[in-house]
Amino acid sequence: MSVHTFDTMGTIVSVRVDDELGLVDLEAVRAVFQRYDGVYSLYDDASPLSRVAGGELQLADTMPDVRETYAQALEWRNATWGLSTPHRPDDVIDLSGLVKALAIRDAGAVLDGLGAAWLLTVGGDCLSRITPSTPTWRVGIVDPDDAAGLLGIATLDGSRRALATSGIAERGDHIWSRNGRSHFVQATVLADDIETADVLATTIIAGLPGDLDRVTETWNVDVLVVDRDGEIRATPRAAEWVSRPTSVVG
Amino acid sequence: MKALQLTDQGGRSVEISNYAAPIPRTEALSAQSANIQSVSGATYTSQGYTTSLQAALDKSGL
Repeated sequence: MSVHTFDTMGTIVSVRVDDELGLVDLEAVRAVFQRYDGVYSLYDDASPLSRVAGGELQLADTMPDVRETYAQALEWRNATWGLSTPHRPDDVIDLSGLVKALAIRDAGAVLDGLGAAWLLTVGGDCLSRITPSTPTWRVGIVDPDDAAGLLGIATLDGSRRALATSGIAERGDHIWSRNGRSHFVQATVLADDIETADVLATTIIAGLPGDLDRVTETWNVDVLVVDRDGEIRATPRAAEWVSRPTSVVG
Repeated sequence: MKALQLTDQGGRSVEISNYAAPIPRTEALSAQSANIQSVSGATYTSQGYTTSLQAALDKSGL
């Protein structure tokens, strides 16, 4: 098992490969994140999206990739009843949520070229690939009320590859929500792809309990949420993450 | 799986097969003994990472 970490997009990327990961491949993974960050970062004044935010560049004059990503973000906004939106309350176009997911997806495509099992974790979101020799990855779900504890453990067995958690624990109430204050403090979504997992986790945090029900009715996902009172709700498969047997610990 | 029959706030019957239902909390699970390779939680900053469970896992090389 080789483990590598690097800093990008304001967070840390952790790469696990059930094999050696050469420097060239690690650099290829890092380059994926740096390319997206260079275009979409709102912390870098020179990035095209920062220049759009500052009014010196028209969105229509940006490169096709930027407009395509913005169009994707709008499609997600429409699919999530306006809850996952690229438009900040101050009108700035912020694509960082979707872009992080797209970078994870593209980095995963690089890692797939290795032919080994891998697990990519970026700021609390995970994408995985299994092989016969590494048939599962086990991912702990953080307890928002106890940073050193876990709510449960999700097993990534290849059926659904992407796990994303959104919450207010680490960055404060940064997600704009329907009534100004989040009902749920943490939402974890397991989906087939990382864009769906990431967008829906954000959607649930931005929404009310009825929106959670709409999400689980509309998409094939497993969901675990924690509300402000510390109460847990889970879809049937996600409930198994919490009620785990304790005797199998190695 | 048989779909649950629920009633929404308007009294309308709705069919939900993947409903997120309340579940009891189990006793706190220690990350050290959990045999995990990664952690999913709210997005941490580069600074927040240093004290995170993820950093401890990465350092251990598991």
